[in-house]
Amino acid sequence: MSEYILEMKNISKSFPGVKALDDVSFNLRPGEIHALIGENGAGKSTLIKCLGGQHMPDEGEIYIDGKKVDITNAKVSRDHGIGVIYQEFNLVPAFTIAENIYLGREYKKNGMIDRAGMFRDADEILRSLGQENMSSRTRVYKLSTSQQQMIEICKAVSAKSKIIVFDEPTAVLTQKETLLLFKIIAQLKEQGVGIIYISHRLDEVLELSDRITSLRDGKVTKTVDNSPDITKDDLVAMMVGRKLDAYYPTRTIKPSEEVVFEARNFSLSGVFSDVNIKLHRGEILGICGLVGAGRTETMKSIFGVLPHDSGEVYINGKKVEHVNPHQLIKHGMVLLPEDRKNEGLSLMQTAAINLCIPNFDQISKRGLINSRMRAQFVDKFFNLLSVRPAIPNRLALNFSGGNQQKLIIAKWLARNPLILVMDEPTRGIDVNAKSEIYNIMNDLTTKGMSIIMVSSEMPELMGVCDRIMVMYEGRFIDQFTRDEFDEQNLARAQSGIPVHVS
Amino acid sequence: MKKKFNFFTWLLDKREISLALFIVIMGAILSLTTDTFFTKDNIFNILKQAAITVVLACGMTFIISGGGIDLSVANNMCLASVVLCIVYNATRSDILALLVGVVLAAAVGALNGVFVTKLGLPPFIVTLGMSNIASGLALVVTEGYPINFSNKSLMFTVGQKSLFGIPILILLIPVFTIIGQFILRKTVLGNRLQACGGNPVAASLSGLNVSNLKVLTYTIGGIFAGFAAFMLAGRINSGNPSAAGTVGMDAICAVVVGGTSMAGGGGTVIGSMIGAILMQLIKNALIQYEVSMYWQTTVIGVVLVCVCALDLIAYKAGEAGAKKQ
Repeated sequence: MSEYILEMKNISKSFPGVKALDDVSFNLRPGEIHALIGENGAGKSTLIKCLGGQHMPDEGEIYIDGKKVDITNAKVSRDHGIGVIYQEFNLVPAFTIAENIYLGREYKKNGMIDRAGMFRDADEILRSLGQENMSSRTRVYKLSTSQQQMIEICKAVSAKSKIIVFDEPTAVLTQKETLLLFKIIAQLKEQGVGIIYISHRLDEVLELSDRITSLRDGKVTKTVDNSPDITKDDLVAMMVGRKLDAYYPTRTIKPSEEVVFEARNFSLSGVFSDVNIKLHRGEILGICGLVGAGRTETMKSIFGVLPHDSGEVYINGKKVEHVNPHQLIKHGMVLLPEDRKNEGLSLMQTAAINLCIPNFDQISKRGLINSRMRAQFVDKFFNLLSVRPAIPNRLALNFSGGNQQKLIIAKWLARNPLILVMDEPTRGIDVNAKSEIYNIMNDLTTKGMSIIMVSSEMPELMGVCDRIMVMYEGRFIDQFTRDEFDEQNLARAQSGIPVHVS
Repeated sequence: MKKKFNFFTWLLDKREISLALFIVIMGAILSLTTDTFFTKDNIFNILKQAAITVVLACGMTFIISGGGIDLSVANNMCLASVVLCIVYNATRSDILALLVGVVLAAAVGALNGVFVTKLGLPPFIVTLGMSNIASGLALVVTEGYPINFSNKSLMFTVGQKSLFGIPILILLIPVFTIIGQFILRKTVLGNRLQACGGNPVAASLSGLNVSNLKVLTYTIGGIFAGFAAFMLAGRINSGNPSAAGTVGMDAICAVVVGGTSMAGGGGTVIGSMIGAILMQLIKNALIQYEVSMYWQTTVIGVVLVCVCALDLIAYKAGEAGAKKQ
């Protein structure tokens, strides 16, 4: 009997033009939480897809419980006891929870499908994972994201998986939901399930894992046992090969007293109320809050994408008469949305086209696009933010998350905005690219721009912002200046306990 | 405001109940406001007219629930009915004719399925093309003239006679509905067909052979069309290449009104049957109120759009409920 429930030995996998995995060896013990870290593009997804049956390795072997296996497709993977919980859920929205859990393994009774039995057993699984309030008869499209993730976990548990892979599970969860997830992971660990945990959130990795393996450019850089001595800096060093000492740029300027943007008395029934925001020139204002507090909705409403019941917007002291994106952009305010892929870019078009979309006035003469002006424009902004690879005619889809974000920033920079509203600008982006974006943000403020940043990552907010406003259930509950930044207090405020009582 | 929506979405969820209720209410209004509606002849008429649409809609439920669509079922049925008649005239065997008709229609359906899955062509275009092909072939085979056959055939009996005082066409409505409903909702196979429509990626990752299952949905649609062809030939006592009319669109409308979302994954055959009867009832209502026949298609179109809009509202309300949590 092998000490390892999973051994991946010398796995290599190439795609046209890139070697995604290069002689990667990785193993997992039963009841162990083994974290897998690495920048985007390091090979984590590819490795997991080999486990999940979506890719076949070119070289190398996989052993489960000491036996060599060939994982040719998803069903084989599942039959071997592997359950992968991807970032994009694979659920049938019109089906009930039970039908989703048992898809492909449906219960039969007298030759007919036995839904009653599936409902019964699915409810049992929900109960065993602490979800007594969910009914397996509920249709999945009615569930929230975190609940849908729970169903994915149920699928893996129901299939009696011995190995469960979590791919960035907390990216879409609130703090409370994350705690619940950790409890469930602990429960699974106790039952002897081997867990592979992929995350960019190094705090979580340090908190949860027994061992940590980092990948860089398709190779394993290091596998370490977790211990109190290991710091986030160490992990970052493992991933990028050098210590990033200036992870957050020092704020080089102080915001002025001048109020460049003000939102007064904004409210939207049932979503947020009494929103009053003042932004000073050169300031980076952070807005934090648990998922569901209403941050994104507030910013979208101020920007005119969502409606508002009341409220006024003032830019440089002047009231904006019609609150809609067109007017606000004209007045110098731009929004970089949270859902980068669907709302920030046209993924199926080239990076060049994406850059040009709001900027046709800068590349055209008399209504016709001038190709020389366009080429110069595209080059200028590609270089300005070091978008890589510097291939403007590549589809936006094929750029990494960090570079996609840079494209969005570049697109708006061309309009010389006064105010940038950035909603979760570094979500799902690797460490190096994050650092680049923080530097860009700092740089923009030295040039007179002001930024409102919505984020769920406390360390990021504390590292980058001058001031943080905390939102809780649709209202701003507290505010902290830079010298008051404290992770505990911010967390308390986020959960409804203000520190400053006004 | 919120409470109203909950009843509303419940009503849309329990589609069969609300549709049946709607039919009852409409029937009641029509009975009270006209004296020609609530007669045996009229009711039988409605159901006889609806019968073929029902059978096509039963098959169409599989296709739409499976995430696809088939614009060629009506012409497929026409072609099959024409071939049916030819076979009957040549062999005097209803059974053989039925067999050939069903197999032919199933093959056309399967062909559609193969083009959609293996060649990856969009269902709308492929089946549109196939619709023309089938219609053209029917005309070629008959040289434009309807084919007559004996009124001693089983086909004629089925299409025109009654059993226990009820036209056989009407008796066939519950037969095909029950068979279709059983396959779709009571078998593991049916469940898997719906899964492929609801989320083909999830279905594939669960080990289902999505492309084969999708081809099967189109084939089932074809099989039902084959039976409908038999019923059609019987009803008009001929194999007529131009007999399709709007019945193809009616079938699609019936399926959507009956609760099967175009997005795939949901729906019941019973809902489609009720939807088909409802559509026919609406057409009859127009006749009762002496509205020009030309308004029929317009009204059906309006009903379809309304149902789609209501469906979307209900879906969004369901999703929004999740976001509140």
